[in-house]
Amino acid sequence: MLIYILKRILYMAMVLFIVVSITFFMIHNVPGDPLTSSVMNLPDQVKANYYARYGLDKPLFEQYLRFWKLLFTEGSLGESIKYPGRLVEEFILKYSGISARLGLISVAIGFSVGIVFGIVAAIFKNKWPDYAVMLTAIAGITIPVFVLAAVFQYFFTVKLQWFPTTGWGTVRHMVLPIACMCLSPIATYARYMRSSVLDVLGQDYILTAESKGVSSFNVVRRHVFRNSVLPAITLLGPSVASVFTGSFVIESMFAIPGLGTYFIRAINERDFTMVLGMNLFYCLLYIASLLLVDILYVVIDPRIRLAASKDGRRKKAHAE
Amino acid sequence: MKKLFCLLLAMLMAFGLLAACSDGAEDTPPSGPQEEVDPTPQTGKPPEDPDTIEIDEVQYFNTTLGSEPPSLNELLDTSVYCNTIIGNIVEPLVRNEYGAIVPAGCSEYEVSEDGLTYTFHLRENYWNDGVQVTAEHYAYTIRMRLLPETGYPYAADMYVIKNGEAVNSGEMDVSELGVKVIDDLTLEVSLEYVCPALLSTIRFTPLRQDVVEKWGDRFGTEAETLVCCGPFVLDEWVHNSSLTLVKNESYWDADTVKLQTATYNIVLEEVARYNMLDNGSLDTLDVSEQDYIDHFSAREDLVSRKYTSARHHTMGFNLSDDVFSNRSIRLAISLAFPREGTSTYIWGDLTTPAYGYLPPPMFENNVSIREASGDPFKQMIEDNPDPQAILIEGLKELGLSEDPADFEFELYVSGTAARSHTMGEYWQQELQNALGCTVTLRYDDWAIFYDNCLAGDFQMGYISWGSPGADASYLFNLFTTSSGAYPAFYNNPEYDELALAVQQEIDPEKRLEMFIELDNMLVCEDVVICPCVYAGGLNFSYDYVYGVDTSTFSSAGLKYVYTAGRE
Repeated sequence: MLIYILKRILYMAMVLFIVVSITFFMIHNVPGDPLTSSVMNLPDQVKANYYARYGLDKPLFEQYLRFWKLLFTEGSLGESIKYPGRLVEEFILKYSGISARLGLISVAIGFSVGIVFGIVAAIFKNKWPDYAVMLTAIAGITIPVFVLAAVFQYFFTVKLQWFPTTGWGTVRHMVLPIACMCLSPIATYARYMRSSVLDVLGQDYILTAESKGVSSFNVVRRHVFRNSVLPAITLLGPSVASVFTGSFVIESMFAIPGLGTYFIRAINERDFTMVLGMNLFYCLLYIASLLLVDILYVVIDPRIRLAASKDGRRKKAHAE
Repeated sequence: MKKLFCLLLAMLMAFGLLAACSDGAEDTPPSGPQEEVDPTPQTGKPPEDPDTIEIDEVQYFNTTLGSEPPSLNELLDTSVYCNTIIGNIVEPLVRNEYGAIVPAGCSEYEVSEDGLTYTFHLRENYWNDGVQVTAEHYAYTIRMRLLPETGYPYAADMYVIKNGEAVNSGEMDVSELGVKVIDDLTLEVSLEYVCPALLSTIRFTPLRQDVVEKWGDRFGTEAETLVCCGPFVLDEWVHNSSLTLVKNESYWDADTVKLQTATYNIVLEEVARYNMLDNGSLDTLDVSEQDYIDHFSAREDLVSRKYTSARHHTMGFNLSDDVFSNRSIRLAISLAFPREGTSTYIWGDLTTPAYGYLPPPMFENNVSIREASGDPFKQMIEDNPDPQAILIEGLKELGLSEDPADFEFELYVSGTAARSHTMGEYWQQELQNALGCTVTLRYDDWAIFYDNCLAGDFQMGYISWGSPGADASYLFNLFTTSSGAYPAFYNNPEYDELALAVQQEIDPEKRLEMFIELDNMLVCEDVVICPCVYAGGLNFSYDYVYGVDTSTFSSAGLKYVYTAGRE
């Protein structure tokens, strides 16, 4: 297990290196630079001074080496070009926290409510609770989040005036964004959970459990839940990764100072260092969450083995 | 297998991210400030207080800022967002208030007889940390803007200062720069050449060397790294969310400033801004969505004001292109262009159809240059009712097939959002109908678009440009051979000469004539551009808001704003 994890971490580092390298050369090869994306054409002298200020006058490969050197010697992702004086890692640390607070709460609500909904729908298959849950699920998946945000904002801040329209700081500021953000996860988890619970309910061991007199609550709690939650856990990994980078739509709609808007705008603004740093961060989270999900599998379902043990391999060979 | 999958996923994601983001491109290129115009007389003074009203006890004002200022270090950031905030928290030597240049950080200034030396006499003003504002603080800014190490993007505008260009290219030491501190309260600026528009082109703001050096790269990144000497102090800066200003009690004209707090909210989503105006979280807002215009117009407590900006939207022709080097071809397209339709169908009548180059709010000798020119292009449209005939003429001159149906050209549009596509497809249809030729479309986000245009890789491109200052010479300079900022590849020595001469001409009547002549050359004689529309907008404010300087090039900020009768 430990060796397996170490191996995975090594591979992660390799993936990161490749992704960052590809991103670096791709973003530098897109036409336009931070200067042309904001101010118009300038005299050559002024341009030269500007490029020198941000080290953009050096050959591309030298800039590439400098990026890695800075990362390893100083642990820094470099200074943003578009936001001079502010370091990329500073942005990530500061704003991913805000995005994460919103995102984690919505994923937590989405996951738990979705799972309960899914189980309820499966148990009452083709009865009204099932229809109600599925209706919510279809709505949650089909209504785009920007529509939902606009409707919620208009209804709750203009008509009823219960919450502030935009801004950040208090719990009241968080209610609407979270409400918008958790509906889609609720829908997704509910649908996955429903089909997987239905699958498990048809298994022989459930029949056995029921026939030996286990109460139906305990059947669900002890037999159904653990066996059916795996697909939902699989989904959890990637959604946790995207939590930190924030939701561009929600953040711009409610003026929340999260990472989402920076993440998107850095590309249009050709903020090379920012694009690289953010990409590295996102990639790291993504592959780390995949690893985490694999480990979670083992915790939840002891039948799963990540690394084939020597013992297992021998048995397999013997069988063949 | 799993590892490969993992790698693949990660890579896919990286590409996916890059691809997904181009969709968010803005409709309009971020070029220069977008400001307002009002027909109010250019008095230079705020209007008198109406006697009948009583101003509110609690004075606050909520407005919006289009985007997060990248930095509040004005040496590094020249965005309109940075300028808006800086204009409120530091005191420039002069301000443009209610249409005229008035002394602000200085109490008076003199211009030498030859027009080459400006002497400013500073007022007694203090920074919010108690230090007095001195001539050295203003001189330091000028020096820093021209030092090559600073990389100041608008350094070329400062070349008017004596030896400015030489210092910026590193050929001369900064001590040779034409700026001299006579004493603590007297600053002398010498110029390279006579420049009547100096004070409306360059904003002379003070910077504190000790503060800039204390914070280094971090200067201007947070509220606490700044010192203020303007009407307001930056109290709090929640990045990407809001900037809060409070009244500066040590400001020289603090008695005039009535607002205690002013908040600039950064709300990127249009609908969210409309909701904020609707429930009173904002006191003023520009509205462009027709449904909301109707909604807000119906409300009695909101006052609307339509304005035209100092910004034009044009079709630029690539004069170095084989086909577009022909004047008749360009003229035919320009004559056939659907100006009225563009204004109505694309912009909901918030823009004005353009029949010339300079936008209406550009003044010279107290008259609008646009009005004074009489729009000769209108006459040309009347004289040539059949643009297709002119196109055929052009095709003949080029030795191409005389059937317009064989003629095909590409229209290049910046922006990949829905509005860009609507525009492109509308023009394609109208031009094809009018000229009988084939128009193809190409879209790219702004940075790629502008890069391709500068490289000459286009035939006809949709370009919008705003004037950052009240002087019209800036907009004409874009077309000179030496500037080439507007990618038309126009090369006319006569035009270059006139564009340079007008910058140094003192007589306003002569300048007016010269501006009209330049405009005429671009639009009628050489048909370098096809004017489309002049930008504009519609502002809604609550009826309790008073004292907003709505003149086009106002740099008054929120200094004179107050509220009376807010519930």
